Amino acid sequence: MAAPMSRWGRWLVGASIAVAWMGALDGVPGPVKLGDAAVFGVPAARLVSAPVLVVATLVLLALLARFVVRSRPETPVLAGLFALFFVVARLEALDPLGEAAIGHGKFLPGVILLALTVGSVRGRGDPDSGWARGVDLAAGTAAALYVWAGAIKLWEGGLGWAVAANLPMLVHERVLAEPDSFVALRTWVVERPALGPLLAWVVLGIELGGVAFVVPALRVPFAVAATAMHLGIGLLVGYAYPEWILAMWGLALWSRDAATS
Amino acid sequence: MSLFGPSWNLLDDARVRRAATALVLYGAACGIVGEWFPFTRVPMFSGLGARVRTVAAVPVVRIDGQQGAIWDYERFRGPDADDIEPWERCRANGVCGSFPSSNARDLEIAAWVRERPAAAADPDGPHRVEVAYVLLRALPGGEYEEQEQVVWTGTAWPRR
Repeated sequence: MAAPMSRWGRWLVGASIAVAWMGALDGVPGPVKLGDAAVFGVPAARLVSAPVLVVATLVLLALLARFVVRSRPETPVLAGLFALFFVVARLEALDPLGEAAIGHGKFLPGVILLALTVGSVRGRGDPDSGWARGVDLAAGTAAALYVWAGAIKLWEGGLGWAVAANLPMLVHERVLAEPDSFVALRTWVVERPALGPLLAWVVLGIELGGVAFVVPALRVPFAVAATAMHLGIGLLVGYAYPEWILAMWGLALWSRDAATS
Repeated sequence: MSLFGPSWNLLDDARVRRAATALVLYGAACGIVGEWFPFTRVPMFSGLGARVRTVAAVPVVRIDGQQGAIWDYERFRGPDADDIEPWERCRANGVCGSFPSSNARDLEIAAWVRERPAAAADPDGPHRVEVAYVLLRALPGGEYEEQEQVVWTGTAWPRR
């Protein structure tokens, strides 16, 4: 029987995948926008037709059910789930914006699936038949995403990212564009310019601190910090990534049993 | 014993080594490949620090004086919808919003209005529609100046 945290972990990662899939379906361009484009030789417009998307969703749900229920990793299931997201990403990339059009919500669940797939491959006589290897590989790739999120801010703008004017301006724009969403909170932040650099440094610190996720004992504390960051970003500028929060908690809890599951 | 296990050297732990290896390999791949699923450098608002922004332009739609959603209306009558697309002017002057979704919105609003004109025989709609840009300017001391620039005014009917 799977250890309880392992089961919780798979449920949360599975929920992350399901949420990411819903976002992916929402982001896929329509057939008119796709025109004559093709993905792997198949007309893209056909791939985004309702019957195909319904079948793809049913396949995803069937694979997800197996992923959550099984106490041992199955490479075809994991690879199949990853392949579905890979195809959707290629469809989104047919947008005039190219790769920039691919919704970031699917990156963390997608890369976790890739890592779990790699971790599930067993050599002959390999004594390890559980999830442990895949979970740790997934945690490493998740850590890389957070570290990159912080590093690229410094790479592109240096410490200017935390300059006083930038974050309050960002929040103020959201107050104007979305007058019905968290206006009181956003206005409160805008009226206190000293909060700008403070919040910016907190975000940078948490993102770069993602390196801590490679240590199993630090995965739950980092999941707490990342959750706070995502919730703050969602409240202030409206970008919420629940699939990332679910995925991080899934890996953090799963890690507690991964050594024995 | 340490807080993390039998040794303070984290790399003595096989699980830490495994995860750290994945971080380094996947991280390096993201750096080399750039943006190509499943690789990404997560460039969300990463360019904000490249220059300190003191001005921004936010597109807003007002229906009968209240901020509203243009998608709820049709049969527009008014000037050329191209007037709603000052995106290139904004970009040339460095006065644009921080959010790609906001900056694309003027194109979407213009397309919505352009594709739903009132027929010649239609009377003017009961609702007054204004598409404007709120120009936001940061002042010394943390204050902000807002100036609204209306770019399109017309009438419309609610969508059936």
